[in-house]
Amino acid sequence: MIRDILLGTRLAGSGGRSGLVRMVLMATGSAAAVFVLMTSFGLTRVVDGQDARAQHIAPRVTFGVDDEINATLIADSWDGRELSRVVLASDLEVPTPPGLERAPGDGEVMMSPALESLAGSEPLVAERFPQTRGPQIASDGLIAPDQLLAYIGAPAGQMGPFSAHIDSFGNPESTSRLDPRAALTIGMLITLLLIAPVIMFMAVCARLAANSRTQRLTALRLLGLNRRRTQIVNAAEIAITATTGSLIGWSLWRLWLALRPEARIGVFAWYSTDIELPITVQIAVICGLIAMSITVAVVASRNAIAHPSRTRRDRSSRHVSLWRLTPLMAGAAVLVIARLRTRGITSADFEGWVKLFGFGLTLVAIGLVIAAPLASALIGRTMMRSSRPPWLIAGSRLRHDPSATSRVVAALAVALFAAGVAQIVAVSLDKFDAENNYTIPPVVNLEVIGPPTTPATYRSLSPLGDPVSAIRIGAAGKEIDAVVATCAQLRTSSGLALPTCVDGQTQRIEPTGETAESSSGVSAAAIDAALSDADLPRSSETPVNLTIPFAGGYFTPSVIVPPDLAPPTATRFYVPIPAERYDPQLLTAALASQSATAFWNPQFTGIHRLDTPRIYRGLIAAGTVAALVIGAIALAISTIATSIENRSRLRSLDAIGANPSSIRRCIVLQTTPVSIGLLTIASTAAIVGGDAYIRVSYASAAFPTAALAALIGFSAAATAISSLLAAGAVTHLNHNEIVRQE
Amino acid sequence: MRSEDLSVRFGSTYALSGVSVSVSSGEFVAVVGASGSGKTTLLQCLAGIVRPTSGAVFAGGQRMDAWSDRVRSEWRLANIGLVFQFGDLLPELSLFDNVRLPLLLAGYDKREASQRARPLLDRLGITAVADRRPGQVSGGQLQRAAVARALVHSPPVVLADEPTGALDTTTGQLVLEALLEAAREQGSAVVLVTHEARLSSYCDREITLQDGSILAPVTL
Repeated sequence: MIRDILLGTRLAGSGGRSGLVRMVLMATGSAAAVFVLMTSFGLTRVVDGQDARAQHIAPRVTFGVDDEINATLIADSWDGRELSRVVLASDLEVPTPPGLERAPGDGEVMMSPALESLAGSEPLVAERFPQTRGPQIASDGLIAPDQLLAYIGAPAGQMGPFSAHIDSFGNPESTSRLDPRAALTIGMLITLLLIAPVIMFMAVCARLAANSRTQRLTALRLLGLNRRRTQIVNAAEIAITATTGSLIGWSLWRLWLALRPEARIGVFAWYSTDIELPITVQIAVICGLIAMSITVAVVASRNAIAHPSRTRRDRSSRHVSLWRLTPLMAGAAVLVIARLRTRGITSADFEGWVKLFGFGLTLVAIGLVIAAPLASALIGRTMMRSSRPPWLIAGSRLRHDPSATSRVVAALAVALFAAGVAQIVAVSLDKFDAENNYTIPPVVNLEVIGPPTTPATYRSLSPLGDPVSAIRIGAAGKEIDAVVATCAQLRTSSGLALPTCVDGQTQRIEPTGETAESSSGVSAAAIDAALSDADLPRSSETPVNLTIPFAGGYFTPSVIVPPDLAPPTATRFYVPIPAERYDPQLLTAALASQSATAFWNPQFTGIHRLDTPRIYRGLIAAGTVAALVIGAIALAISTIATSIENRSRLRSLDAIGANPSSIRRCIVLQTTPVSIGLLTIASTAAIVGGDAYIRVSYASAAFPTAALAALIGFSAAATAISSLLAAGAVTHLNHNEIVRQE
Repeated sequence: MRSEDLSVRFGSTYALSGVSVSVSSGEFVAVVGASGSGKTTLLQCLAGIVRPTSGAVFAGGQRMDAWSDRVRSEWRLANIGLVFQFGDLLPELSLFDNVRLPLLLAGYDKREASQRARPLLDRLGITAVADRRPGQVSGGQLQRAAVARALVHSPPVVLADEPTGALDTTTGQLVLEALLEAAREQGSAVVLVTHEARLSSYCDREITLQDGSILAPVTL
């Protein structure tokens, strides 16, 4: 056996330059597969790891002890990302937050690196933290490297509503916000998205050079090697390449973890320590891939090894039987049954049915690959009717060896199917998000409860010290002028524009003649009169455009957004500031950020990842891209390898005078029509199957026509590019080189 | 068609070295020599498949080796019929489709190509197996289909590379006679590469190659 294994090892490196290219392709496939599998397995661990981190930094809180209040937790957001602030009493004893060596002092802020970086690039964020910067929060005090978290020190007397007493940090009883149904769906998707195309990819790589390997094995059988020994040689030849590639992939993965302690895919960031896999899992992945490669190669060569004398003469057409439709039909049947059985069911009771839908979708994916040769044969038969030689030749090839082309496209078909389903689930996550209220609670800054009545009231108000006071536009004196920003300038404290704010113009208040003549401003009484004329307090339905005079000039434009027009999620504040400090760009943020406790949530919150659905969407998007890239690479590699393997056939065409463009067309036509056909079917099946799932799971869904069009477009582009690369690879082979090799 | 001081090098090995040959219209020329003497390379140079390292190949007075791939392909399609040792037919096409392929490539429609191919299939005795594919017929039938493919477009020159090398003596003789007879009727010149000395007796002239060089031209 040792001698046979050694012979296989030697054969793996034989075959000159083309043999080396095949070996490199196979090793690259193995390396990529190991890397992707390690990462996808690791990602599921990251979610658990981040849950554990969230529990590690979660505070133990006691309510109802008003005289011991030492903290306020504020959940805020910036551009859809959660921004957590923990205001700790600087004049009381507080536990030291995780990731810090001490609690922040009065007027000190300690930020996470991501928040500090954001504040460095976004003035609106920086304005929210006017406190003195303290040390950064270390990684053991954060859920993920992109977490926006700040610990701020402030006197206990400034604590706002929903303040509490923090006993300690680290709360193992803190519940996970990960929804089991969503986690199961995401887990299935990751499997479908990454593992299925990777397996197909490996199968494609293991079958590379099947013809030349078969010839070698046949020769060994004819020399007198028995079946078992020949299979050992075959297995050794594949194993050496797959092992080399797998170890390269594993080394690259380890290197990636070592060099990048913080990593990210799209919007999902994590610490490398969280993605680390147990050594047993790593060994299982490597050994599993090698075993799969060997199995595919052994199965591919079994006929040649069993019947070596037939190999050269066996050119009969490969019969494509209708049984190949069985898995596809079975998958469709399971989906139909699942759809009928879950009719009228609410999403809350749906959990158990996810597995049935998943099973149906998986069967359809496998069924598409198995049924693909039928489509090839059908398309080939149609193409053979043409009198144009490239169509005739390509059609004949498809008709007589339909499995060859369908094997080429299998990985991308599976990837596209998974991508289509993933798009549906991504759509469903919005519903999931809405159903579970997984949105960051609105942050309240200053509520408008009614207009002040006299200029004296304006003067007495402090915009930040009295959060429930009515802060209303006013120009109550020389030092305070009326200032309100336009809708475009008005933002919530999260930095977002007010979505329902509408600029309007109903009444203009021109400066009085006295004001123009004196050029020294107007009296408070005049301004009050003007405001009264504008009917601000009573008419809250229509924005009012004001031109309000002040000393030395005019404010224009000045649009008042009445309270009723501000959305419930917006922070409403209409504030007076000195005219000389007016900066419409920074107005809201500057004012809203002067005090750490000027914000509060309408209910108690914690330090969590409230953007879990966003992470899920990010994972799905990343998985989709990875799956499509793997599928496209598999398509390109197998198309090129198949063309190179069939170059003697192309040389025959060249010898009788077919010009290079005819030969190129031949190569392109052998893959393009079938690929586009199969990939279109796969995309459509994914959308239709996924649509059935989402309609049950989340009651309503929009058919993602754009996603379908994008997938079909991607299929067409990938196929065309692969075919052209293959054509280029073959037609650019120098004739002299072919002759020399042959 | 002629070559002047033709040399072809593969890596550090010279397959041909300073070979000058000429073939006139209607002439039958045998190229003989041991394995590795450069016979096939000479044939491929004459067909415009392999570009020589040095020297020149002339076709109809024009220097062919300077032409682009596309022009050489078009010239080959119109002027050359090739027969290889193992037929080199396209395995996915039937014998009939293989035979009419040069005509389809030249722009004939299917009906016209069929009309020209059928008599040749009849003449070579392979009509009965015309719908089978190369893997489903015998070696003799396959080579006769290859001969039909080489002659179907009535090329001025037929280049045959050991067309009987894979056949038994009787079948080989039948195939060769069919090739030469059909070529003679069409007025085509034939360059026959062989290592069997007895086959050169069918030709007007014999060129012997040894280690890439012409040993001695012999007029038979």
